[in-house]
Amino acid sequence: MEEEELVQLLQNPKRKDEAFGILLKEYKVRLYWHIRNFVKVHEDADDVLQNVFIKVYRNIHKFKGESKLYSWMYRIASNESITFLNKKAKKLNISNEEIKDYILDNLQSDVYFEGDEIQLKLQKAIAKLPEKQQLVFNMKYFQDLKYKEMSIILETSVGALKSNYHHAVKKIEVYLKNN
Amino acid sequence: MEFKDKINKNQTGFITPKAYFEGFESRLFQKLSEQNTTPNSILPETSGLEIPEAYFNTVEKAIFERTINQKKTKVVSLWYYKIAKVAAILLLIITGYGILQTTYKTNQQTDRFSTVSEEDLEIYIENNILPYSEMRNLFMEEGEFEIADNAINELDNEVILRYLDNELDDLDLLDE
Repeated sequence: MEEEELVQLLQNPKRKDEAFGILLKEYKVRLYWHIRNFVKVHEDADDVLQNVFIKVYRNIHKFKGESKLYSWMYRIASNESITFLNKKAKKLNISNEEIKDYILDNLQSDVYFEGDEIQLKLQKAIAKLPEKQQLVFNMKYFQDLKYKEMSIILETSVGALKSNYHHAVKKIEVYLKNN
Repeated sequence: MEFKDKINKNQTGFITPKAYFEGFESRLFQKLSEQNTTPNSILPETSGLEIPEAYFNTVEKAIFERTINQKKTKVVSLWYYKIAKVAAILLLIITGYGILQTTYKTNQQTDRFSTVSEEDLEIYIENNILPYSEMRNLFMEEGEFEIADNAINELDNEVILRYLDNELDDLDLLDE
């Protein structure tokens, strides 16, 4: 189904629920991994994913179609993930920077992390990157999105994204070699 | 083809898996494209982040419960919330109005009080407010008078004078 058609159905009160089911099937996996790469812990990703879809369901009538639907959803997911992490930091009485280290320190004991030493190091290296580079690296490297898709989602030029990714990879390589 | 296979088989004894060469091209291209997208072999290909089995089926149900199904089951309670909301707003308006009225009246009374002259107040106190002893009597029971009178009568005059001598700084006050 074309995106425009899906949006029309979602904004039609009589067809909204049916369309929401389609939307959920289409985007749950992609959005989950997008969120998981932010928050790292499965349970947290689950919470955020549910909140994102609830927000989409409740606010779909406000979607004007000025951007792509999945771009809009990715933005909601990114914002929700950042808000979630900030709240978590506040609860633990630590800074928004410290929360990243806290999560990574606990990642090894997470039952849903089966990474080896190099994968853990990679996560630590990603956490050291500026936020935009983290986002671009995760989307390109783990989610395997094309630059063109990323350009639509992040509303950034393909050239800028390539540059971001290139810098991110270089920094990660340096980190992995030195640690 | 048969000839080559025969030669290989006979000469070296090595054999290939069945249909190995048929899928070779596609496997080779896949590997090449993977190598092109993988920036450097130092980086692991996966993140190591896992998910529980069948998670994406359960999350779908959970989201339905919190969106579509929640809406359906709470239809009855919605009108109740609407009424409660209206009632709460009305209560706030009434309470607010009451507070405003009371404040207004108090202000009016305060204003009236501030316009009364000092002289009028003195006249009012003289004519209307009972002396302290009489006011105190209003709140004392009949029996209490007797107890108080008896207690004073039982005291020795000398004791009273000694008490007054010690406790009062200015004995001239007694003469007033």
